[in-house]
Amino acid sequence: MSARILEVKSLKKHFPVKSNLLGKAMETVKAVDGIDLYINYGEVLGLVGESGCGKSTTGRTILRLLDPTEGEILFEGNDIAKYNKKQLRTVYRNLQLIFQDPFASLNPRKKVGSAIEEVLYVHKIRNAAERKEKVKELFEMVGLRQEDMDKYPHEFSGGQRQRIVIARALAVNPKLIICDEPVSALDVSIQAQIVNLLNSLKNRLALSYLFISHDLRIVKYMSDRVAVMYLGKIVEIAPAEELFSNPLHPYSEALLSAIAVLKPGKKKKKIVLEGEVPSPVNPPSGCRFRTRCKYAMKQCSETEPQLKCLGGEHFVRCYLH
Amino acid sequence: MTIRDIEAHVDNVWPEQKAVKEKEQEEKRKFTNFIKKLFKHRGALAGAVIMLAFVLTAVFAPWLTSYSYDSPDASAVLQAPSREHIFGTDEFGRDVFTRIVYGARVSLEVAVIAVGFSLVIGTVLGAIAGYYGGFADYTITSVTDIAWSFPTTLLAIAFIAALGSGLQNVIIAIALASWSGYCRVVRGQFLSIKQREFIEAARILGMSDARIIFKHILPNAQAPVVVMATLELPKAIVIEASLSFLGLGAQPPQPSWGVILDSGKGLLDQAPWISFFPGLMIMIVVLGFNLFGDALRDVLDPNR
Repeated sequence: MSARILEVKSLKKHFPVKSNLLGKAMETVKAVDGIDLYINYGEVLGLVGESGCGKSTTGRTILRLLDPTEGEILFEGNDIAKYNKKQLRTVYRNLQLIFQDPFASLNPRKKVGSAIEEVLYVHKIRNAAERKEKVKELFEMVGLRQEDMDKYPHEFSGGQRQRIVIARALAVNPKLIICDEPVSALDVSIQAQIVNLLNSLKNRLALSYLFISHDLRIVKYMSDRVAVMYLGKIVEIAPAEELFSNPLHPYSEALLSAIAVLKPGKKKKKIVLEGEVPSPVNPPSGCRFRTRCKYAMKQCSETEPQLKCLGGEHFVRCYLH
Repeated sequence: MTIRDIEAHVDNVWPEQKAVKEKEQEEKRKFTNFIKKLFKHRGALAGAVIMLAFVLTAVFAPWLTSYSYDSPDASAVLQAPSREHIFGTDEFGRDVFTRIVYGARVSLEVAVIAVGFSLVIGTVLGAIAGYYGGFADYTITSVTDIAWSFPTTLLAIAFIAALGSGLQNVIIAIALASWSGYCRVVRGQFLSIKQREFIEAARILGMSDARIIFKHILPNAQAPVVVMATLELPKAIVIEASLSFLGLGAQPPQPSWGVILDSGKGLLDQAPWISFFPGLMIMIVVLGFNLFGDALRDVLDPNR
């Protein structure tokens, strides 16, 4: 068995926006346009980028909530990109998702305890009495009281609901959890609790995460490695420490300079990018970032740079390096 | 301090969290407000009283009258309303009040069963169309639009023509003629609920389509369907009476309101009460249901 729990190879997801008379797509939004990444067992890979760069689409496509246009999704060595519904059901015992909005991801008409029990029932995990025990166990694990089992979702606060969503995802004993902006719908004070909970669960249960977020501080705290995404492509991927101390791609550099510096006296130069993000329908030729890059050269508009290894696990997609 | 204490504290301090909480409490209040408003609404109250009286009459028919609804009495033919026969008697000497009371049973039974069947047909088709989309949706929507474009009564008569007369066939005809409304409503509900995150969650948690449809979407889609069903009941009552009046539904001596109305038709100049009272009953009951339905719509309208 290899050390990789997930490996994604040239994954693409295009959405048709306009079609001609024959129903053939004329224009497509290239939300995810050729992504390669891998996650090792027990590792947290952060995925950052601004809104609309395709982070969430990447997560959803890996989970097959969206069907990929192209590419391979190797989960524990098996390509799940072409799996049918029945096959996917078995995959979902090891691969789970934590949603962004805990207000929308719970069925408002189901008591939270029975919602989690239902998951165990569907996967035929244990018998009825043991399932009740397991739900109790899960509630305890995420810091909720047993009495809370008989309540409806609307009786909980946002943070508590996210705990329920986490408990539900853990019910099947997954190995990899895709966290799609798990804390961005929550208050700052509660964000910290949920992040700490995710972190301790990871250590306790030997989980791996794909941690999608636009909040750089949380990604820095959570991740072992971080991938930076821009307009449907990964522009840089490196161990978290290395990326945050020494970002090499001009976009990563600009993105990371936006983190607020908390040390008094220490001033950091903020790099403000010019212009707007180009349309993912017609991305620029060559390097996608060249329209806003201050180092843009002639060759940047001609051919697209490849993701280049700079030694170790640091990859960057830029002609400067 | 435990995590929960902190959370409780934060809920008190942070205005955003508080706003969310308040919103939820308001949702709860909304329902009690809804019931209160409904009771204050005069139309709703009148409608509810009529509906209740109708249902009680149908259920307790044998206790309300001492006459038989179908054995003729030669000594009491065509008597005007009196103390013994408050709604008079018909050409066979049968008590019209008794026949109307038992007729309420027929009306209620036919209406409830027919509405139940059409609700099931419409819900199942609407659920399939809304959930699966694509070709299934296209086919079902086309058929629904065709069914929707015909007047319900006309369609019911067409089905009776094919099936033959009789109460059982009336039920089937009404059900087959009136499912399209439910189908449209349920399809719309499914289209919107399907997009919500908890349905995606259910899919990722490995649940089957049938489980998602019946346990997750349907319970969240039922409210408008229930309102619609209460508004369909009076329609079914009128169609049953119409079909029976035309001789296509209940057959004499069965005491359907349509049959009684029809039997008095030829005697309007001698015994107008035979037709008058069943007609009045149909009017009052339909009025009651519609008053209640209108009140329901008023109360549920957020702009009022």
